Amino acid sequence: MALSAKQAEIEQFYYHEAFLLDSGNFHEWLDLFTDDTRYWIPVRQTRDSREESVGKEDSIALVEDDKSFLILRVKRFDTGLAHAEQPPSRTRHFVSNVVITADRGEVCEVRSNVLVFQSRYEKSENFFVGYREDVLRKVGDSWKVASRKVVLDQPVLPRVLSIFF
Amino acid sequence: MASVVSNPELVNSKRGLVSRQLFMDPEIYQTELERVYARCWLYLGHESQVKEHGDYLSNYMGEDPIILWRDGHDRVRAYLNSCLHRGMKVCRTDAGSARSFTCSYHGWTYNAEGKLTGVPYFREAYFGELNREEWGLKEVPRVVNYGGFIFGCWDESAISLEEYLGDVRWYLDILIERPLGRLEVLPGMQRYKLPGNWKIQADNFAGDVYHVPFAHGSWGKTGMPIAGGVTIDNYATQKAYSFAFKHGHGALDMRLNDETYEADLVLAQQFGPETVDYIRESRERLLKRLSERQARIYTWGVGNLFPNFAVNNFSAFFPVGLYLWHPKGPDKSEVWQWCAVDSAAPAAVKEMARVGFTKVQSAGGFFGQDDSDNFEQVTEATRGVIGRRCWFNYQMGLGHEEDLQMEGYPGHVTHRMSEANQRNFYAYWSQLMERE
Ligand code: FES
Ligand SMILES: [Fe+2]
Repeated sequence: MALSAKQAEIEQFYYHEAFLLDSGNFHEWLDLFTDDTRYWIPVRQTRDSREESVGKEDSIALVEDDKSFLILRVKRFDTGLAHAEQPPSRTRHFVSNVVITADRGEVCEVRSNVLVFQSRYEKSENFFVGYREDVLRKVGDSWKVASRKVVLDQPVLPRVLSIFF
Repeated sequence: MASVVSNPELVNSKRGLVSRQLFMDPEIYQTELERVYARCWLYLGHESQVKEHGDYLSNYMGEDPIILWRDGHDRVRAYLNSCLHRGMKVCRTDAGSARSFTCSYHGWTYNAEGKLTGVPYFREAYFGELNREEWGLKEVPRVVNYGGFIFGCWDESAISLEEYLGDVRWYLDILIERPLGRLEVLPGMQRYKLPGNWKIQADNFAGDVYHVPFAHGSWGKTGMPIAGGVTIDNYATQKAYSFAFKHGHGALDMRLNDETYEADLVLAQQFGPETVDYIRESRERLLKRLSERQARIYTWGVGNLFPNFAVNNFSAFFPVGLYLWHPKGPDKSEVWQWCAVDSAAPAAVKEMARVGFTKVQSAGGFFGQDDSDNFEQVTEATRGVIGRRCWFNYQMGLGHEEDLQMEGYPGHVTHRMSEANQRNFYAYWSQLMERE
């Protein structure tokens, strides 16, 4: 079975996004998100059930941003005082296992895996691994992220979160 | 062999100098696990996290894993999380509810009273001869709940928790009494590795006002207020005080004259009359339950309870942040943190606090990120032979500790921007380390 044109388009969208992040082009990256977007990284714990291991809506989160705070995070990089990313880390984003889980034409729910490598100063030992559940919406002729949930598999993070997923 | 630990020059309080060995030397680290962590009162969790019989959470005391567990008689107890047969962790999850744990190695079973209630093949293999009474879970002998905050201590001869906290209780009481409902820890926790000694975080939270304008300069530059009308520009000059306490505790950013309350009232207008009432009632409650001075402080600011428990609360719209700096080696630590809110706060206030928790002193927060990056690089530059021979400088305000005299405020008031609190932290640390 040939992959649908939509599947190919969405995969290309993710590769482009990964390229923007890895080349530090955060302003263009912000444009990939709708104005009403939600960017959420729930907490992770070791619990008896898989279900309980992912933080819920009423739990505290690792990151829980609307568009305005995402913009602020990028603005922070521009101040030159964001010591955690100045000098910038080197990152490499790998996106795989992309599956359109619900196709409603101009709106798609997409699940993907992410593996993100972060090298900072002399250290090159940090990996973040997880999956994403996105809602993508067609705006004009490009896809945008209307909502993103990033579930990291590490209950104890290897370091603070100074990068995006 | 001359021991590094017995070197009297490790902490020179008179000159405000602390040897960098404290942040790198394995022998000092091992000794402090014994003399600090196995002797001091340590924060274990909050009562709202273990409400019902069987509710438990996993935590650490030093490097020892523990279970905080509510038993069948409504008592919160703490145990070493280790099977008394051959050491397996009996509880392998971070939190949950269980009436008993069955060890996954050979199946010994323990109940919430810590009793060994089940031993497989007790008759056939042990001939019924194992004294099960003797082999219950190893219990933390002293566990005390102070206003919902549960502390534990391994040392049966230690002073009481009340005496250990001492004057800091007067300020902690503000956080405990202000909620119109009860202080409730929200579900979930953040944890991240920090490649640096736990004391770097602890001394920072005990008194480091100095780093805020620069280390966290990006916060102000993006136009965000810190809290309660404070911005990065007026942060350094606002009228606030630091307090040092006996046993190494320190608090900073204490505003004494209704400044935070008044800023909260202004913010509350944006939320509507229900929130304005809530803020007013919170202050009135403080006035009724505590003293006028405490009501006028109204919040807490930032502080570190010796050794590794920090609390922050900048206003009623901010969460009560609870932080543990867990030691994981001479040059490694882990930050574990929770967020608590008043159960009776208006929904919008709670939500603002919950989401706000992710923005500031948090794994992905502006403050948490920059602190962590700094502390990691402090550690890298301290690793070497020559680096370790240098001092950390805590001389700010040396000799000015007695400048301010303020009647009616417990603890020792100091200039807000001063390293007096850090000197106090290390003076107590070295006192503990000298005791065999
Ligand atoms: S180690 Fe637990 S039963 Fe053997
Ligand atoms: Fe800080």
